[in-house]
Amino acid sequence: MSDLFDQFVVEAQELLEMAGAALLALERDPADRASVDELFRAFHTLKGASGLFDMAPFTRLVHAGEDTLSLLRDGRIAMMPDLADRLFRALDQCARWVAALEAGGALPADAADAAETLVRGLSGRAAAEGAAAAAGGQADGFPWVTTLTGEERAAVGEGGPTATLTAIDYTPDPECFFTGDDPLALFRRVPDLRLLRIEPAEPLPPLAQMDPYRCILRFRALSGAAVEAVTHAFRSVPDQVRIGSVTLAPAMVPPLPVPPSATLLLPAPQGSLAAAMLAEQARILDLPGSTAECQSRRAAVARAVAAILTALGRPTDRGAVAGACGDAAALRRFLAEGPVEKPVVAGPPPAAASLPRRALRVEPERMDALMALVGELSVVKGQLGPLVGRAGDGELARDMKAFSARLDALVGDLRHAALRLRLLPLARVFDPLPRLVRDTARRLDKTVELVLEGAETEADKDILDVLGEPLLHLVRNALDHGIEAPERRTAAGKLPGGTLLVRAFQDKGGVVVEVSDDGAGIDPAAMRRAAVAKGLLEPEAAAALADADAVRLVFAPGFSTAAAVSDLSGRGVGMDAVRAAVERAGGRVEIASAPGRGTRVRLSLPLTLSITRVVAVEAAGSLYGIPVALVGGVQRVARAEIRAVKRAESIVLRDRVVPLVRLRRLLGQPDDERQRAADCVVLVELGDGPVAVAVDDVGERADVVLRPMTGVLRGLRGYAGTAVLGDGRLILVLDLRELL
Amino acid sequence: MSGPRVLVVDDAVTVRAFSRRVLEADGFVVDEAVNGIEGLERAMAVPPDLVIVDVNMRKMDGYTMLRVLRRDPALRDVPAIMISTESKDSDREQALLAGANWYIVKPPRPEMLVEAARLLTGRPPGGEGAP
Amino acid sequence: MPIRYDADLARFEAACTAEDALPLAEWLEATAAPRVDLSACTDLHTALLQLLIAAKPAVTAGPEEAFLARWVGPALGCGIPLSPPGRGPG
Repeated sequence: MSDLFDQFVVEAQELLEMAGAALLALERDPADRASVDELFRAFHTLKGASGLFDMAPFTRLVHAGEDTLSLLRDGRIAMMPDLADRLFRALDQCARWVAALEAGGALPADAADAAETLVRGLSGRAAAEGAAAAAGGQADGFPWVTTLTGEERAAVGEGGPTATLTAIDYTPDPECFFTGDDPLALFRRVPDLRLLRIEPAEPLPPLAQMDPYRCILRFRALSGAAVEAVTHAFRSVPDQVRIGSVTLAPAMVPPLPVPPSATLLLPAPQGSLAAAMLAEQARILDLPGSTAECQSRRAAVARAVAAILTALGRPTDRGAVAGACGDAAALRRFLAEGPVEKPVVAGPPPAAASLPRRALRVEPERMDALMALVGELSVVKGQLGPLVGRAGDGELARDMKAFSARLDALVGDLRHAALRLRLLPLARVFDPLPRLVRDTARRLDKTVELVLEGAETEADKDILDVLGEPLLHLVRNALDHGIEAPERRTAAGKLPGGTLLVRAFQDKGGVVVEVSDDGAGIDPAAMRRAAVAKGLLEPEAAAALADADAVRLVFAPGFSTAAAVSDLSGRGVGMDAVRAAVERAGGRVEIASAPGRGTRVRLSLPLTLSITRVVAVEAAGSLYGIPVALVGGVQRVARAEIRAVKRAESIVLRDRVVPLVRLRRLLGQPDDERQRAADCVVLVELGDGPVAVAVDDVGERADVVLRPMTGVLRGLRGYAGTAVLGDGRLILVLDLRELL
Repeated sequence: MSGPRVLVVDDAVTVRAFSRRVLEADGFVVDEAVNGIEGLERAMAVPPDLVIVDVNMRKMDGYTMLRVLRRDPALRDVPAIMISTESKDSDREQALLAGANWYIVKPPRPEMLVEAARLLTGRPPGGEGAP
Repeated sequence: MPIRYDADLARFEAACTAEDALPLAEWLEATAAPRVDLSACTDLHTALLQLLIAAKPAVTAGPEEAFLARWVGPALGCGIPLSPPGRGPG
């Protein structure tokens, strides 16, 4: 059953994640019913699924969780931080067990003990508060009621097979004799006592060791009287008794009010599943309900009975069965004696069914195959353009042009649609954040409000994978180094609680995630000093840095070795790792900070890894692509505005000096001989700052499927891969970080 | 040669997989749905010979699904088994009131599930437990 | 004394209370094949009941009082009396 087991592991992980999110929501808003239900359902489903396997401690723990949540759901206990802690601990334990199950196929040896401890933590509270509620009449869980012997059932008798009775579970305090209690005597006062079981509450010791003044019995009883009346009898021992109403359903073979001979004639042996099922069908006919309900129950019962009879080798006319399904007695007679009434026409034939909307799961490989086909289609379609051009100016050519344009649009739509299939909402990477913020804030004694926006923003699964880890880094950093302790915030005139905003949105064909806090911000002066102290910059160079550039130093490799940065109450732990991960995926990182007011880090990533949006540029007669995510702008720059010091050129853009490089030179091509008044410049944003790249011309922007360089091309540096434009032309996509 | 069609409605993928395995091994054709709404949609699309429904599911629970099923002229007589972790009599009663023909406590024993499915679809009970 | 000990037979009479527990325990322990007669017992304290349940003496006569006959007798292995004396008080 290993694939079943694998399925359980996956499902359990999902459920635990869901439960964690719901628990967080519930802790924030204890009145959030949807989250209680969600949480309850997660535990409930885990209980059911884990029950299929040999993992009793797991089932036991989630069962206890479910019990606690059912008290919570019924409003019998309230959500408090320490209850949340206990439930979180249970969830964490389950998560560890699932990991162990996944790795080794079994729970660790200490699982039973661990479960026991956690269950006690959960139910210690639940039991205490639940007992009082049970006495109030909402009792559930008198499992022994379902194990009554036939004799006991008969003795309980009266009130029909589904009588509602009051169950009593009374375990006297062992010391109760000293306070003058006589537990047995209490039952003399129970009205309409139907059953009394007297059992040892613990294994009986040998007579010689028995303390005659220690009560070791427990009592279980059923009464036909109402809960309130019974409760009254036990008013002196409310803490030792559970009282609640139970419904007594028939056993597998219910005591049928039919002559014994008829019972014996049932077409299935007594005690068999078939007999029990047939008896149950008869009982269903006598259940209360509206006319319509009873009618449809009769139809279902008729079909079920016919099926069971067929299964038993006694196929019977369906109409005859339906005719016998008037009430329980008629069906019992029919089963005992055979058909009694004329056939009745069964229900109308099935109506024409409509196929409703359903979610569909598709294997990633099929998606990739589809994308490849779409790519090929684009290439083939691209060849249509030149053909149309050769067709001249006639009517045929005009029609072909119109046709080609329509095809263009359709292929474009198809590409877009295929691309969207791989997109998933960012909620996936947002999901772990609330728990991370809760735990970290609790650990640091800070109050932090996490605001998530744009969780519905979509990106390719590969991008989400890239995004997850850096996002955790940023959030952790913001809590650790950004948001101040409450005292410091208050002293600075801020609210004691900080706010962390994580926001996602789509931009320029890519996805952007921003992490902003209203914390201490980063002091550029401190950054300059730190950079000098670490030997990363000469004092003059540091002094010349603009404030924004000084703040960017947090991304410099080697800058952010924790301690110093923490002291600056800046940030930096792993920031260069964040930058590296994002840039590897063709994205970029920006940071903005105002000392005392907060910091914002912005991650921009392409929508997908396999599809890259590029700007096509031309240099020396060849087409190249630059990922749009890196492009900060495109403009013409007059030759006069380009300052040259030896071979190093630069321009001033928005009051900043930006180095200018020529793509031809980067690619080892001869300089452009043409005399031009202005250069076409693509402003590229790399981690260290903007760079202006001069190109011969700038073309369209296009979504392309990036193919890694293969064969002899693989050795070439500076290229991210090849791609085919919508019109079928091949371009080389540049890896500017490597080129520059 | 295809056996009776059983629609398994449960939000736990593991339970669905378990039921599928057990029932398919006995020759049933198994269809799945993750909640009451999807269960009804599947049942309307391809009427099953038997539905096996969980109680507690998001969007639409098993009780509601059975009630709606019993109101549908084309589906109201489809035999139904309700399956739940609860062993209380009151839960069994509620299942029958909602329209179930039989009630099984989770986790089901495979042979019990198969035998119940066989009986309610008119196939002779097999194995040593047969009468 | 509501319980009269007579060699290996203990006769329970009228209301037998917790004060009888210690002597009963000692007698049950000391007696090789104890027998009890509950026919005249009208009330039996839980402390006595649990001693009887633990020691399992032979019951020569079950209780006749309605409540005890219906609910306590069976627990001591006396079987249900032939004519059930009703459903107890209430």
